[in-house]
Amino acid sequence: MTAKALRGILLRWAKAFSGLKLCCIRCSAGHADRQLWLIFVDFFTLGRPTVGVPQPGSPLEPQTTELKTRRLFAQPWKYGEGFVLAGLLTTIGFSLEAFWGPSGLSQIAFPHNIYVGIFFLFFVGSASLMFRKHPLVRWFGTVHAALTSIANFTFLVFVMAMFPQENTAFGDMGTVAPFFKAIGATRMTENWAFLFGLLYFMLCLAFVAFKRTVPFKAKNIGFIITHFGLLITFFASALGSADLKRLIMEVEEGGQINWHAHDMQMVYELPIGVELIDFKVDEFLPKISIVDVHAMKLVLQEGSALPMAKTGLKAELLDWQLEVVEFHPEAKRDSLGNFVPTDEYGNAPAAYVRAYHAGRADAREGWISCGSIQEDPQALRLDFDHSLLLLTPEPEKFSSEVVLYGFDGSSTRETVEVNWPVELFGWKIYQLSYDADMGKWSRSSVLEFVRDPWQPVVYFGLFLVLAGAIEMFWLGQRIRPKEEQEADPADGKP
Amino acid sequence: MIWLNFPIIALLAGLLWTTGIVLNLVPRNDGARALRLSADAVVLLGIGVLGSFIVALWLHLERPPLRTMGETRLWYSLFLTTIGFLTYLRWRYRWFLALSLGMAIIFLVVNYLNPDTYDKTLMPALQSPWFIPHVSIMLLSYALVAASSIVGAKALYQTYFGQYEADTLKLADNLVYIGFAFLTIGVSFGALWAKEAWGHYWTWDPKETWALLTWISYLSYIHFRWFQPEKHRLQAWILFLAFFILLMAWFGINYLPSAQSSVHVYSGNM
Ligand code: HEM
Repeated sequence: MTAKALRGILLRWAKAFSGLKLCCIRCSAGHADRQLWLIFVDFFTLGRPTVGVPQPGSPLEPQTTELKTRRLFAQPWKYGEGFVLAGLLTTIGFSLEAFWGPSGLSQIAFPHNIYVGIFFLFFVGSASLMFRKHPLVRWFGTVHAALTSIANFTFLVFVMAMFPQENTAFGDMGTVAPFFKAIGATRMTENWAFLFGLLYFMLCLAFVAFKRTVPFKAKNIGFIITHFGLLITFFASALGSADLKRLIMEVEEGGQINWHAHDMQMVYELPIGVELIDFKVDEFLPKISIVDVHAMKLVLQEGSALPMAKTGLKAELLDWQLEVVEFHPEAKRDSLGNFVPTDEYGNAPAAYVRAYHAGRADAREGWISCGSIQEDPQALRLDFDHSLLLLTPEPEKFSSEVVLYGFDGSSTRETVEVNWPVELFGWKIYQLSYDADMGKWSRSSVLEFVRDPWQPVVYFGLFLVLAGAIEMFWLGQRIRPKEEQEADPADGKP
Repeated sequence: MIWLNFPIIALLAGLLWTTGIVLNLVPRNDGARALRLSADAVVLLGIGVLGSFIVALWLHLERPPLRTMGETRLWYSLFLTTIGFLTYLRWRYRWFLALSLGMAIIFLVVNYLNPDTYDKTLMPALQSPWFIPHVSIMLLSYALVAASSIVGAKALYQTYFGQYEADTLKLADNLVYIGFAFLTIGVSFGALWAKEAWGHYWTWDPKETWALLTWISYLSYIHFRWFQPEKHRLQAWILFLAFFILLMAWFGINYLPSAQSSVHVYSGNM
């Protein structure tokens, strides 16, 4: 960059901060609408070809000129400005990410997130009340701004949808080219571009929500509810993410009371202690399937479910007619290799099956079992390529029976089950997983402790959006009445 | 196995609906009462056949048949034809009914040629009171907005090759408004359920991300349409393109590298 250009840039900023009313950079006419904030924009759009020339008589009011093609960033703004703004924000955001690192939005914890929230609402609220007529305030409340911010946000979400995201553990990071990693395409929620895009989006949403709220009209209630509702939802979930705690706790049957849980970074002491009394897994009946012994792949029959083993079952798999002569959900091998029912530790489901094939005279028969931590699996060879298998049963539900001790000396007995978390002292306790290798014999359970102080705010916003959605369903489509369009100059219709 | 009956059911419903299409497409004047009634009857009968099959399947599986792709396609056919018929009752668009019947038939054919694995087990996280409301509302809304995209395609055709009629996009508006409301409810229910099942209401799971994209696409349509109703060509394009995002949210997700371990991809080894 040459010294001259640098001097020019500095001069511009200096003029901006000294409060001078600047002339339009490109045509040196003293447009009153080119105020301080436009310097920034001019700075970045310098050198763009000027399209159209303002009418000589009215340099102060470009919107009254009869230009066919409008100069970019002349008032009133429309889609073009919105797209340029969005493009700038996104480009700057990705560059910041590459050269500086993540935005740290998720680091703004209590109470700073409250300050940010209050400042934002105060800023937008006061701006839209005091400067209703300001071109920018107006513009942020138009569909021009809204649609460009929505498009920009869509783009960012699209990037998020196309690349595996680091913090979600979905997908394989190895497939991502280094360039995309550098600009943070794989950690979008932490990305500056995302932060800027969200900010732009929420500014639009907030300005239009305030604009329609004051002066208040009853017919706008549906609008106010949806738009404020969405604002609250997005706002609280973005700002609240730093206060969200999701901690993991492992407990063992017969082990000590555990007062500690951890996340990826550190271990926390909780106000709740957990003693695991009993961990239970209910299982579905095991399914029967055929494996290709050479490819070591299950040969699923298309079009029908794999049959679940039970005594007397008759089913067809590939071209084999199966008959389950005997089935024991809990069994062990005796010395002859037959499975006999037992409730001993380490038992396994087993079935005695007969298999007929139309093309063969002889039937195959024998035991099949998926095995367990103590029993070896057993397959039945059908022909040169295929064997019959009993698959490991899938868990139907699993739950932990626990005693929860409070820091205040209280204690309660609870069952924590998938989909049925338990709530205590502002923490929600979830059944997360267990020792899958041990299967139903697992003696340990993994619980998740979640604390999300912003959740009520998010839900409040969500319920407003829902109420608005129902209003929308009720009223159906509405094309904007023509007279209303003409009465409202704020959207910059000529 | 009840799925073995599916070819018969599909054939029956498909024949009834094909008859429905033909009866609806032959030109008729308002006096043709017998023709109208028989057209309505075959459509309803087809819906009845498929509906009973779903009920039977539900009873047989001992869980709502909403889990595998094959099962959801059944609902999709059911909803498409129901919505098509209701819309027809309200606005008397026969071409729309014919189109939705055609689409439903395609889904039945797809199901016949490429059935998914049908499965009796349901993983623990799916055993929730939220399951049915969430999934069925999502499907209903997808069906509605997909239908609106068909109308968008028609509007596109009109603007390029024929005479654009304002009524075309007005029909789309109705579908989008109702569908979008359901989509909002469906996504919200999903979030509320996720909180109970997985500990947080929004984890940017790929399926969630795509559902959000779908939601935003139709949101753009609503705003643009409301703001500048005269720009119908662009609106038709938005509607038409939104359909591809919808398809992605619904099917494509299973094939995306970013979605390898999404909690919503149920096919595979289960
Ligand atoms: C749940 C989500 C939303 C719904 C259901 C919704 C619905 C609507 C509807 C129905 C209108 C027409 C106005 C009327 O009927 O009075 C409208 C207008 C508008 N919406 Fe939204 N909207 C949503 C989200 C958003 C978002 C995210 C933004 C901005 C980023 C936005 C910005 C606007 C703007 C600027 C207008 C024009 C208002 C005016 O000029 O007075 N909306 N919205």
